[in-house]
Amino acid sequence: MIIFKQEKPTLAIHKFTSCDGCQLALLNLGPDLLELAKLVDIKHFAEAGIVASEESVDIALIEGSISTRSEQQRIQRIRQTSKYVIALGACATSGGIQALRNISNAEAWLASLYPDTSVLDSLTTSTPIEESVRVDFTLRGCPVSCQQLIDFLLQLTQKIKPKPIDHSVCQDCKRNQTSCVMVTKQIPCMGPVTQAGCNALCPRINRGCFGCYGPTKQANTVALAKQFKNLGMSDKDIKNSFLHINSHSSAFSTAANSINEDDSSHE
Amino acid sequence: MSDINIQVPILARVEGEGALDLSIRDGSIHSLKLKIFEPPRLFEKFLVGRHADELPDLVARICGICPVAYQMSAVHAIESLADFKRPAWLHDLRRLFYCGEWIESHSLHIHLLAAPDFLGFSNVIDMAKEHPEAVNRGLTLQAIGNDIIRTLGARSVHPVGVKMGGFHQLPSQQSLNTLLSSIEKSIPAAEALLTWCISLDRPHYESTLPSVSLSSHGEYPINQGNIIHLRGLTSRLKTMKSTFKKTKWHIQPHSTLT
Repeated sequence: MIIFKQEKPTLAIHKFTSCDGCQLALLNLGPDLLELAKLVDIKHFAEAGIVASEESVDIALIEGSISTRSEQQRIQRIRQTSKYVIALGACATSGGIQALRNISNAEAWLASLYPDTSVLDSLTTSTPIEESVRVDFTLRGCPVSCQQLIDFLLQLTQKIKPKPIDHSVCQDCKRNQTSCVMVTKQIPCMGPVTQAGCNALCPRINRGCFGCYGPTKQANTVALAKQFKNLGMSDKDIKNSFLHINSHSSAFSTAANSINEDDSSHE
Repeated sequence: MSDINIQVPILARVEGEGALDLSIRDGSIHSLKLKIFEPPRLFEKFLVGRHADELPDLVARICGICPVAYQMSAVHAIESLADFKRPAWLHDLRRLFYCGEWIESHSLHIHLLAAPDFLGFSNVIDMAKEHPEAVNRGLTLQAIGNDIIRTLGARSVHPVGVKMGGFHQLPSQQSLNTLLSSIEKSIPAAEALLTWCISLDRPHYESTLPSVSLSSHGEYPINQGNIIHLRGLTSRLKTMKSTFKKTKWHIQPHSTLT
């Protein structure tokens, strides 16, 4: 059951390691942003110029991954002062694109880029929020869409448990009556293994999905990797299709790990 | 005169993250630190070894507010390596695409971040109560910018339309006509915004900091040109790094510009 501390629920948007893109799902609402302000009491939203980062709230939207020591501490404080913690977007739900460091030598990467790494507060990993604190709801996507976030907030503020999206991009192509780019044009597409939410944008403009919403339930990555191979992709490129924006998600990292770049004998 | 110490942990008037530490002793500034920070995300390293075709999708994630800037830099860099000469139509469409981002990003910055300070409000939602027409005009122009990006890139944040040598799919004539008519309708709003911005009371400030810019003959430079500096420095893009090294400008230890 959804219960708020305030009659008009209070909302905070916190940024961690990210590109700011998911917060734009709110800032791009246009005049609807002012409507949203009637529905929830926005307490903290630095990108919109509203600052009260330590205030206790009903709904805390978290954009970004945990990649510094200070972020590890800050997310604990937010968990303590927030009724519902919502992981917003690929960085918060899977560590984001910057999680590619997790499978590399991040220490060497930092040392080769910065003249003095002692001035940095940077961990060698980028991890999703749920590896640090309990998360109540997740919204996938890179970025999350306006519609997705508004649908979610409307359900939550009506005290209805938000319905998760758990079908694949493939199914949205069928609904949109978009011809399958992989079947009709032999374009490699991550749609079969990727969670919907974007309304299947990429196949609509004649290109393959690249998995920015992360793995869908029961993703058959083995079959897709085989199909990519049939389409002429190299093992390295197949591996990289899984090691993209959601490389830290277990379904995608497992898929990448199962591809041995030097071995083509099991074809 | 008493000492003043001001610490602002989150500066709400910058895109991204910022903080300010100011200490005044005996009426003069003892220390002043403006921090614009984002934890390292290591694009410089994880891009290495990726297929060139992946770059527009990967580099967009540097910034959600200005992904087009990075997509344009990436495709133009790779295209120049391949000696690809952009046809005029592609030059124009990419310029339109990029202008969309400027319109969206500047509308956001002016109305949500800057204007509340000029007019004495703590944030845009408070400002909208007394200046609804200005805020609505800003949001309308921001939406036009987003429409332009969406027409060519399918979505406004991390658009997916750009590829090496062109676009994955060109917009239909009908969608361009619709876009054109909404742009034409919004021209009075853009002019009103300009008049309004000029009327805001601004402090007089002249900077002595070395500032650099692109310069291009015949058009406002956003997608091409040389790098220029007020003190006479000019550099072609390809020799940028060596030109900057010769200036001996101070580079902070946390910078990756070395």
